[in-house]
Amino acid sequence: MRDKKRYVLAKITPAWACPETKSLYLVVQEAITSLWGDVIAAGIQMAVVYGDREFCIIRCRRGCEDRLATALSTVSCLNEQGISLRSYAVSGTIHALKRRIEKCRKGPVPAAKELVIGERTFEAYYFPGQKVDVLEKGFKSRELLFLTETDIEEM
Amino acid sequence: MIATDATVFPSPLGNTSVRRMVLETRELGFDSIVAIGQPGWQTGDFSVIGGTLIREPQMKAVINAARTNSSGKGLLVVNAGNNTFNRAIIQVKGVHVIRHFHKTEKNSFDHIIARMLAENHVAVDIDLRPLVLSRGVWRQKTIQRYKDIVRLYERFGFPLTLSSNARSVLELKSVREMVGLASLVGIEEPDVRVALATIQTLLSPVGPVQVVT
Repeated sequence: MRDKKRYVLAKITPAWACPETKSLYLVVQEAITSLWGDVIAAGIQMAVVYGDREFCIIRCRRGCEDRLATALSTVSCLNEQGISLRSYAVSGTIHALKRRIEKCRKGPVPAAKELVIGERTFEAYYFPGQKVDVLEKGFKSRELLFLTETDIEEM
Repeated sequence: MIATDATVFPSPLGNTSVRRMVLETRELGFDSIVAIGQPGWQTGDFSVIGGTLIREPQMKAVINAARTNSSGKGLLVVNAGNNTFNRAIIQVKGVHVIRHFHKTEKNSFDHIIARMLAENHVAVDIDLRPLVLSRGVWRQKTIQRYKDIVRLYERFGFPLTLSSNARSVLELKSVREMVGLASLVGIEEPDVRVALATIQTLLSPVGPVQVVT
């Protein structure tokens, strides 16, 4: 039997994390199962149907969208990288959510610029609204800072 | 104030500057935050309330902090301890919020403490971070403890606050997410809205009318 579906639009933070759709699926499935258990997880029928760098669209059975949204807010980590998935909107069609993405998007994800603070080198991502994500260059224990342009000027 | 995140940890306690926290929480539907270890300030219609957190269960530290914060502009938050300690700190004038009951023994929160909280207008903070970060038995125990608190909240009506306890932008929660997470422990949406607005009533409580001559 074919069930009615609902689609949840979620924003991926940080935007430079670039998770793959399959990784997203696995992390959301784990969050749903650990929060609601196997029986309800089976009923939710979750699937990641669209994903880009900033947004993803997740499908579920109609009536389960609140449970899915709550489970999304318990996602905190993806491949040992801190991440958050914030549900933005719910719709009955993917098309409507894609139009919503175009409205919400504040331009392309910026490229990394090199930033030197003291003796350390960082990759800085400058976002609209004065936001700057700063990620230390290196291989191990890279420090991640969330700052504003004013903070960087004062450093 | 309509919605306040009752505890966030900007840098140096976390990895996010307080200005960035302000930008992000404003987008998430809040109009104020309690920033631990920061002075209070205002930017436009957004307020940053300075907060002091007492982690160690020692009366001396609580009394000293209450004395330092005697102006009442900042929020004094104390981590819960055993039953005796909790009863004592509720009676200290200047203590606004007690949190982390889920980390204490089961008998540390009972109906007597609930009544004292209501009488002294001291809030219990529901920290949503363990619901997000922990899994399995630890999360189940936290939910169980929070449900016990909510049951006594419904009976005695003491103030309740909600906090993301975020150390990073990634751990901040929107108002809608808080409604969803709070529903896990039995707090309905109207009560969530009240809890998000509680900080204002703690800082400027409505008292009896005083006649000034």
